[in-house]
Amino acid sequence: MAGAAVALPDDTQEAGPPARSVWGQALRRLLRKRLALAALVLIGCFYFVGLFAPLLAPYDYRDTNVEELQFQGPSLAHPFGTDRIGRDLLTHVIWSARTTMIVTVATVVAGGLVLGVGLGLLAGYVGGKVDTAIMRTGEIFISLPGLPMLILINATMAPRAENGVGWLESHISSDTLQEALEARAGPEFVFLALLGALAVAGVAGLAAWLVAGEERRRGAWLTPFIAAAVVVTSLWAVQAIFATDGAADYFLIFGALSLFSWAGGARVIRSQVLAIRETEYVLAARAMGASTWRIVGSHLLPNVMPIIIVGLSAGLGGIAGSEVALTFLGVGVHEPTPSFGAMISRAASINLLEDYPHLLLAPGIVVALLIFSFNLLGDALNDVLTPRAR
Amino acid sequence: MQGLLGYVVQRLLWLPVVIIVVSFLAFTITRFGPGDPISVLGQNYRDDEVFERVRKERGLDKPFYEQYYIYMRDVLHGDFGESVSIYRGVEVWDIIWPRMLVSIQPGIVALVIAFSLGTAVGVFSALRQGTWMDPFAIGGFLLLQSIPVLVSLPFLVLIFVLKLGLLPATGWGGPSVDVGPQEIALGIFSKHIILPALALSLPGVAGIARLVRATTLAVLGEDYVRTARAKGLPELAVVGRHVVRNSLLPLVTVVGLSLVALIEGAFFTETILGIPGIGELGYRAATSRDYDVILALVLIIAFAFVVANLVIDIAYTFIDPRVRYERGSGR
Amino acid sequence: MNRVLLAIMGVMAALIVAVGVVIVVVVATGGGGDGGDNGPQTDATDEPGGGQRAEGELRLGGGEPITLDPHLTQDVSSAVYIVEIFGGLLTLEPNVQDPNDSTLQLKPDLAEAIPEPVQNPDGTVTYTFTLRENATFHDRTPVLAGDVKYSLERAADPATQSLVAEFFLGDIVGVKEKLREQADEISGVRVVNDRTIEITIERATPTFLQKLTYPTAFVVDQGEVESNPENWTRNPNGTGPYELDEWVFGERIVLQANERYHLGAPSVKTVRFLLSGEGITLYEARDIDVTSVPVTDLTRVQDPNDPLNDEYVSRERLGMDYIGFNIGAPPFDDPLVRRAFAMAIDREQIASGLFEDAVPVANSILMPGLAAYNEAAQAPAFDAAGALQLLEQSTYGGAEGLPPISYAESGAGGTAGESTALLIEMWRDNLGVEVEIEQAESATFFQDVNEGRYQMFGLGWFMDYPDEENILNIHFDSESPNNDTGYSNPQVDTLLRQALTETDPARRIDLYRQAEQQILDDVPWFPLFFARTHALIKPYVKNYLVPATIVPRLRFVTLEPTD
Repeated sequence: MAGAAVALPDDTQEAGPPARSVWGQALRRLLRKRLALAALVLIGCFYFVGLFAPLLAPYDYRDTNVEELQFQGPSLAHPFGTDRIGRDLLTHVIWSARTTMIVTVATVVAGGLVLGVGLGLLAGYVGGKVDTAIMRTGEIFISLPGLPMLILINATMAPRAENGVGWLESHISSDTLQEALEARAGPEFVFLALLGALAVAGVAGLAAWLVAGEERRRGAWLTPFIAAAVVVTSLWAVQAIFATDGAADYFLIFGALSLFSWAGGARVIRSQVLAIRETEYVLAARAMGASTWRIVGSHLLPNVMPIIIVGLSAGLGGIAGSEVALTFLGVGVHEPTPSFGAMISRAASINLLEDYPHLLLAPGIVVALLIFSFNLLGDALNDVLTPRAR
Repeated sequence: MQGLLGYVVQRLLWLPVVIIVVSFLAFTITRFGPGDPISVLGQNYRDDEVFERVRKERGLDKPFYEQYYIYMRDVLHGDFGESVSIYRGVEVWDIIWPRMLVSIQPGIVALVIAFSLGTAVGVFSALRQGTWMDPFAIGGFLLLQSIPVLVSLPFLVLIFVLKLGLLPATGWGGPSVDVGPQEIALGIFSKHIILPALALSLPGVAGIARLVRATTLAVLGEDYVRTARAKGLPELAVVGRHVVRNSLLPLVTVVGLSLVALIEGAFFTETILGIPGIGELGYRAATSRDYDVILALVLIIAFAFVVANLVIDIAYTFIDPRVRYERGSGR
Repeated sequence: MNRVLLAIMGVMAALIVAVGVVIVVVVATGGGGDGGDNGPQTDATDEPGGGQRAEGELRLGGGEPITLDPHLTQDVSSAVYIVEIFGGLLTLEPNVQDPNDSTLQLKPDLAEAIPEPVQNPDGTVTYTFTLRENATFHDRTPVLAGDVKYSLERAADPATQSLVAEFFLGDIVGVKEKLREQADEISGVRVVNDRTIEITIERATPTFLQKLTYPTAFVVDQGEVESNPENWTRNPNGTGPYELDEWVFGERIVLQANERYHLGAPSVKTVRFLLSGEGITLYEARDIDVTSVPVTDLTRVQDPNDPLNDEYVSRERLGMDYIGFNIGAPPFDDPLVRRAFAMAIDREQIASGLFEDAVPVANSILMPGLAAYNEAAQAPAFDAAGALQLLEQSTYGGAEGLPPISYAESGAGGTAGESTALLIEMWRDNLGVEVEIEQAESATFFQDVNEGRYQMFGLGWFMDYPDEENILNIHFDSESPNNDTGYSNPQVDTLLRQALTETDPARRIDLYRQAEQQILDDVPWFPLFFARTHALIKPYVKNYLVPATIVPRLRFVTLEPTD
């Protein structure tokens, strides 16, 4: 008894037993797989390019030059060639990467994390009626045919989304915020101030974490700082999304995609939570009077993390593919927002293919490589993080 | 088997609920979204008065729950309505049925190709484990799996149609409205089917190959294989028998999952290649707001999905004996 | 157990082999026929492809019709077939002698002659039509006045749900009342005897006879329609030069010549339309004999060195593309701003860069081929400096004073998107204005345009009959429901309404020209390009006319025997 009483406080501070060592080991094993490493690098590059597209693109994606530059093949000035109206294809690929990045990140955050993990945790831990309700709803969404419904929703709801987003856009666009900053007044300024405070808090937390020793690196005191960081990041992301061209399209796509992709993840998380809920560690923690938050944060989340990550990386590939598909069909992002789907749809006509295959090769190969990398990564993570079943 | 039967029954009871929810959702989206078949038809001479009169005549001015009730009531009598903005006045079933038959054909051929190729590659990889050919083969098909159909299809067209001149570019020489087994057979063996079937099947090969490879490897390591080898039995027969037995059921689940991929892939193969199938119809119906066609398609696809999921889940019970289905707790 | 498993294994192996064999066989035997550039070698499938055609059969590419019911037609794809299968009292005939002349002549179809209008004391005008003696349906029953009346009544019946009956037949006394369910019968249509019918219209309107050439006024078989209201269009009993042999959804439509056609039996016995597949690919594979040429292939086909150039024709089409400005939406409520935006566009550059000069720049709204077409009419010409000046003179004071502007277009994609990108670039470079593109779905686009939701938009208009009324009155009369810009100019209204009832042709032309010049100056529309049809026609196809609007033309075609 005495031994247990001494051991437990340590346990509740650290996460449940398997988690910690699994992380370190997993990471090391992952890095040892060369293919996975390559995939990771590729994905990283892609997202980096997407994030900094405005800085990296050699030309303005709207620049046209019908006279001189039609259908040029790859050259020094235009490494990927140009399209029918003289737009540089490399620029378009870079900006399309940005579009894909925005959509995938937004969908993963909203659908995968918030909805999927959140609801899965809720269903698994709370159980009972809440559990049934969430799972039943999820089943309905799983039974819905994804692509047709997406097409339907995007086709019919686009104008409504426009209106809704228009309001949001006008209030948090970069210009409005800048004006508010200068005027030092108005609701936007308050919003900015709040943002600033949270950012400071997040940075302070980061500093503290770095400074603290190994033993203090985990613990509940970190929570408010993490929360602050998360809030700031999401708000900044939201602002970035809504301040760009074609925000309504993004909103609609990632909203619709999230709606259809959360259920699978939630179901898996829930079963994992169900399994962990009954382990000794959790039971003991509960007996000790640990709050729900602590249990979720210290025990459930870390054990569920591997699954989340694997699911995410697999899902990312699917989401990227969906965005390309929807835009190809005309119900995704619209002109002039660059997107791989738009580039491919323009290039896919038989006549063009015959004479100018480079129009298809550029976006096609990039998309294929990206999704391939997601799949490779997902595979590798799967191998590394889940115990061998065979 | 008690538990299983109960599970199946429970899931089947779920079916009408799903159907209703799905149809209600689709109904709501179409009715509340902007545009209706009348506005799609009347692009040249726009006279709102005229439009309102015609809408009234079609019952589109009624409150939407009333419209929904009328629609479901008709559906239960087998009347799925008629098309307005695609083939005006033609009953929905007359439009959908021949297209379903068209869509099925590349699907079937794709499944056959995927399974055959997948099995072959899987066994080959397992037998060559340890050499470079194993990861190369699997990796190669994994790459193919990652290429979305809408990307691979133009590439395939580029290669097979333009460069090699082997296959027809577009169109469909397959069956027509009055379809019998003869027409379907002709359709399956026509040249037009190769491109879409290839494009649809290639992504699936990787998954199947992996599965077959894993079971083959497992089998190869078993004792009885060694004894059989020692006895001098032909390798292929030994491996084959056990591989097949072990991989049959997981393959069933793959079929179920493939259904999903096939339906979604059909959108692209049909739109790009001009094949008059369900995917192309669905797309057209959504963009021309042909309410009855949209709803009929949604119902059919939802039904197929639920059944496919059920088949997958049942297959899981055989594969993984640890999975048990108790009443009332989902899974 | 062993045997079962062996059997399964055997089946799997067999499947693999079978698939492989099939693929090899199919590719090997069929190779070269459809996809390549070899000559005709077909396999015995039921495809009419591979370059072989039956004697006396013309093969064309076609769009899929929405319906074959003439009273429900208002789109081009359906009209193409309907005008061959059905007929009305009058028709429009292209110039068979000179294919380059795009004028269309009003000719009698089921009627014996074009009647003269008779003015009635109450201001209405009556036309008395006498039907031909030899006019019959496809099933040889004669066409009687009662059939004409039945057809007009049906078109105007609210239960038929025609969206255009009010427009095309609304001039007839009593049609509006019937459409609004205030009357059971059209009072203005009166059967005198089996071969004579009187149609009375509300006031003298020269365009009325043209409207009778449109499918809404076509004659249908009462017995057939009433006995099979759901499906009678599957096997319609029409009065036109061709009968419907079969319509396979998504695949083909086959027409057979009507040997008893009263204007002369067609020379080509069978016309087969292939509804799927890309036109030019089919043409080059010899699957069809005529095709339209997409913009992407125009350079190739217009090149004198290309063998296809010999088969290439280009004809005028009564249609145009334009940019519409919403008069009620700032900043386009100021005519100077509209003019400035128009002058900032270099249409010649778009035409040459994007469309290979295949599309003539429109100097006016009325197109060549219309009586009132005015070569001297001037839409605002390209003048970047002038545009900038005008913008500064406007009430907005220049680019900085303008509210955010967006340009809406129907999400057709492809070249549409690309020409829009050019427009945006020109506005940016020449005016310093950043215009946003709003891509709307076609399902809602037209509705939104009419509701004034957009500031400016890109649209096109194709005439249904060769009369100025079908473009000017419809779009620029302030009270017309089809006025998509909200344009309201009392002087133009007067001119247009006068022209509507003006019976002296010369005076009519003058009125329309005056109205047009006013409209061009006010710039509610900025005309971009006139439509042209580009086609490739095989040398053995003679007299294949490409009329300026959708009118029957297949009966003039003759086929020379081929090798």
